[in-house]
Amino acid sequence: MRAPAPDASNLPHEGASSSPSGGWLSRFLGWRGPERGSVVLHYRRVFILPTRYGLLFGVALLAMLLGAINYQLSLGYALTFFTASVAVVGMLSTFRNLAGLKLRMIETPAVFAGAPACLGIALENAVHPRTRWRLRIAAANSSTRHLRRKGGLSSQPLNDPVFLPAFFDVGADSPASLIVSVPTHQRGLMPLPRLRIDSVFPLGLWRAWAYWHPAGQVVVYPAPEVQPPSLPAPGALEAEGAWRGLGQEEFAGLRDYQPGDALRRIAWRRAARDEAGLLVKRFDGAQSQRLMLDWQQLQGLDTEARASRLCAWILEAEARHLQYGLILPDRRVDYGQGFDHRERCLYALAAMPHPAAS
Amino acid sequence: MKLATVATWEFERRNKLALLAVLVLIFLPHLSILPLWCTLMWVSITSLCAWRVWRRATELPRLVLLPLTIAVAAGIWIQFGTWIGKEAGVALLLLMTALKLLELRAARDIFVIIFLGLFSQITAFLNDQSPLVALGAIISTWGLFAVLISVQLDAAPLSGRRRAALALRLCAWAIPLTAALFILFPRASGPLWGMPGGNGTAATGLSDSMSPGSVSKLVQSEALALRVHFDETPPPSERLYWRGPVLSRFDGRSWTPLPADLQLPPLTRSTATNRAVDYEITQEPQSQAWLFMLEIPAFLPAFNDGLNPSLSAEMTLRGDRPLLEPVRYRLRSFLDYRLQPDLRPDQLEPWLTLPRGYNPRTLALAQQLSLPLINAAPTNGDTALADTLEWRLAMTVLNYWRTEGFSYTLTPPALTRDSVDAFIFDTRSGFCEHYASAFTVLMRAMGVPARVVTGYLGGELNPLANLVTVRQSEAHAWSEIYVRGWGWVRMDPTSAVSPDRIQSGLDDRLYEGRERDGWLSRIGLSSLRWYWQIGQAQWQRWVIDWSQARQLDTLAKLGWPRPDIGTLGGLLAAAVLVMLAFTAWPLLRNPDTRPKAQVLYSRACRRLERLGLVRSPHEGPIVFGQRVARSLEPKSAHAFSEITDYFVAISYRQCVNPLPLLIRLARCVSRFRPALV
Repeated sequence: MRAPAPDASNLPHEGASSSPSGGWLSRFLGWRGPERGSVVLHYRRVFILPTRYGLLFGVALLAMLLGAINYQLSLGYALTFFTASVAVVGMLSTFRNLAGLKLRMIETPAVFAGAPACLGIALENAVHPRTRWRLRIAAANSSTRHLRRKGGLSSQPLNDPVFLPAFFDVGADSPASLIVSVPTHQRGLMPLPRLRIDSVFPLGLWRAWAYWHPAGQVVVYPAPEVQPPSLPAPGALEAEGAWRGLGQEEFAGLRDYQPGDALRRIAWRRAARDEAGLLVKRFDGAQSQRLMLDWQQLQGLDTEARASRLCAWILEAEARHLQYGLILPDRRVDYGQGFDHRERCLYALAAMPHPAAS
Repeated sequence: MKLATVATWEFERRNKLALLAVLVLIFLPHLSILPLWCTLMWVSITSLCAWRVWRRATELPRLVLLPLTIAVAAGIWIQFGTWIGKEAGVALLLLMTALKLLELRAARDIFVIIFLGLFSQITAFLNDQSPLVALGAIISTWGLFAVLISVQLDAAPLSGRRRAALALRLCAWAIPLTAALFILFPRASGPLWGMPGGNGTAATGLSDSMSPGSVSKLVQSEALALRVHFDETPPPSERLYWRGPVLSRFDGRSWTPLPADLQLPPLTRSTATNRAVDYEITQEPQSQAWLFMLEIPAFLPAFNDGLNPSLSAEMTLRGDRPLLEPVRYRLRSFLDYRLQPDLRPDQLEPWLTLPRGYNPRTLALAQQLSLPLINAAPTNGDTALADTLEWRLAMTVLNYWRTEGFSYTLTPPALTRDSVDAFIFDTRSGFCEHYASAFTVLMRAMGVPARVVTGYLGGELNPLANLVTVRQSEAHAWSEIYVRGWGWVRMDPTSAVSPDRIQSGLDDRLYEGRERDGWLSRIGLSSLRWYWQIGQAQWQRWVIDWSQARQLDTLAKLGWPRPDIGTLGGLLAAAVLVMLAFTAWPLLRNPDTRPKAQVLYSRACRRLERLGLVRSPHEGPIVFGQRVARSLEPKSAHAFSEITDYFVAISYRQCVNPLPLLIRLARCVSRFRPALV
């Protein structure tokens, strides 16, 4: 399932996005707005701070130092320093677990509103082959926050397996690919969220994290209405009887294949016989069963309800193999049929501006 | 994404078992010092926990744990009367850690136990800072970090051995930083707060008083007392009298020092300086402030850490506070000397007094022994020592020991109220303190000023390093008598009974079957023991006794002009930075592992990028070269086409030896300064 190519105008322009806020702080912190293509987590992009356990560990170290000082224990000093040094090396190790990682967005399939958007991401070593253990990635704003309190351990059950990230490992020379689930709430062209990738490996005393804001968007179709009224009559005003023609079409000839034609209408036997190309069987009676779904005819509903109903109708019309089209306030999709046609219609619905924005 | 193939709980079980094993290792050094019930309790709680983890039982309910915790806390209160302080604190810490093991619910509990385990190791050092304990601490710290890492890894596909290896690598990387911190961190020179429970049972040593049995109790102990480094070959061990407290007041049963407010004649000495010995003493902690020295010192030792030593009129050295940590001092001593030879008879009063009504038979014996000598012709002033009256009186007493069947034993029979009477006339067997005490009383009864000196005699010589090790078992008591014209002269009454004690240390038979040299000497490896001794001495010197004074001293010796605590701080900061860089560099370094030609080519491309000629991802080098050639001025276009040719030739054509091409490519790239038309 692949989203139709979005308009170039919908993508943030690379030049324009390079400094969204432009402040020196955001430049220093490496908040560079949406980035296209693959991204290498350079050292300057990786942040690190102690975890809750790291702070507790600091308290323990202080207690050890005080004990060593008070009782004049030279080995106590030595052990304290050794433990602290291991923690410092652990900090570098945690940092290294993230730095130099190469991230790439593989695919952002379209979803219906309410279902999680599944972003396919590939991770690999940019240069140096190195196994990276126990990484997590999630949308930056939402779900990592309350997970952080658990100290980066998965021994406690995660209550929402869809949006809470699990751990993954990146092999030294085997790229990892995984899916990040992001909740969707609203129809539209949802810009990809800023992602946060983090790790507390190896000691759990430090947390390194980095932000990655991939450019691009997820097409979110409207959620189809649950129990929509039956499809409007074809041609909108035609007689009820026209419906009886459904499924009783008669073969009316062949025409050239166009992308989007249903596979089962292709004249396969003919295609096997000569190399002229694919031909599609044409049926009569389709003329009378053409269905134009018109935005304007759905009076008395608000925009989102209309979009939902149209979405449900499109799905139903496609299921019934009707020839259908769509008229929206800002665009029109001509009659057609097939998977790509359906996607075209749904995309038109998704891309329709929200009333608040217009 | 690699899938977790092993169930999480299985790893949790392994982590818990590993944690238990490490905690047992940490607890081992504490085993000997805790009360028995604490040890038993710890063992039972830990085994219960191990069994439960092994059987994958669920945690105990709080309803069981809470009363158990309260019971443990109450037990410790009953035993020690406190929860803080050295012993009570350690007991509480260990038992609470064990109890925490019973409620291993979440990862948080494991963290807490690991931190408690780290802290518990510090408490082990309170009793023992030997290399063995240090090694144990290193191993268990490694174990704790391994568990920490394993908890983080959870169900990741990595064997237990690889997890331990990860921890080991982390620990190895920490060593340089640890060394810098250990050497340069400014050490505090005193405790931050009082040391509760610091004195008492922990420190052993000669005490302020001597009553029958006090020294022989010490002799049972193999604990280290002094370590002495001689600059040259040390004197023979029968001449190594380590002088400690001088006891001059006798109350009929025990000997104590003279009261501090008593006016004593000033300390004068005329010393025969023909034999001076230079040495450095490291004295183990004692509950008293006495400092030991070989016979008569030439000067007062200097201490850096404010332990102002003072030399008393009786030639004893003591600091101004109990020596709860090891002290080290350099001294020069004279073995041939005359101590206060010019005292007037009235100044000698304190060393002649005897308690009234005690030991009547001894006084009578003194009369009887001295009568023939005193009646003999009085000696004139300038006689040899052996001809003096005092000396001959002393010899009479020693002869009495020899001829009347006195014997030397570590386990003398108990004595009655008139202890000296009972010893001389009834039991006739005793230890050095009996002999020194009886001898001194007899001498005083004969009118010869005398006093008891306690300290150590001899020591074990390690010929490899001129190192003499003195143990508590070498504790000894002897006498000094005042010979007119000669000053205080040392007399060792024990020698009359047991010359072996003086010459070769304690008789082996007195050790009741304990082996002095052990198995090493039996298989002919006693030199190994000497090396071990030297190692221990160096360990003590460079690790255990590393103090602020030693830090500054070492810096000064290295040529630092007037180092102070600020110098240490600055050096530490610099060293930590260097070490961090040293540690971070290999960890963070990201070498460019692309082929060399690729690196050179992209360098040329970057220069083109500055002119706005960006190579798109889909463009191959040849196509890109053709496109670029149109916008560049001819000379740089030619240069870039050359670069492209070399790059393509190296990368895509199979050439046997790309090195000459690579060199040419590098030369072209370094000269490449593109310009637009």
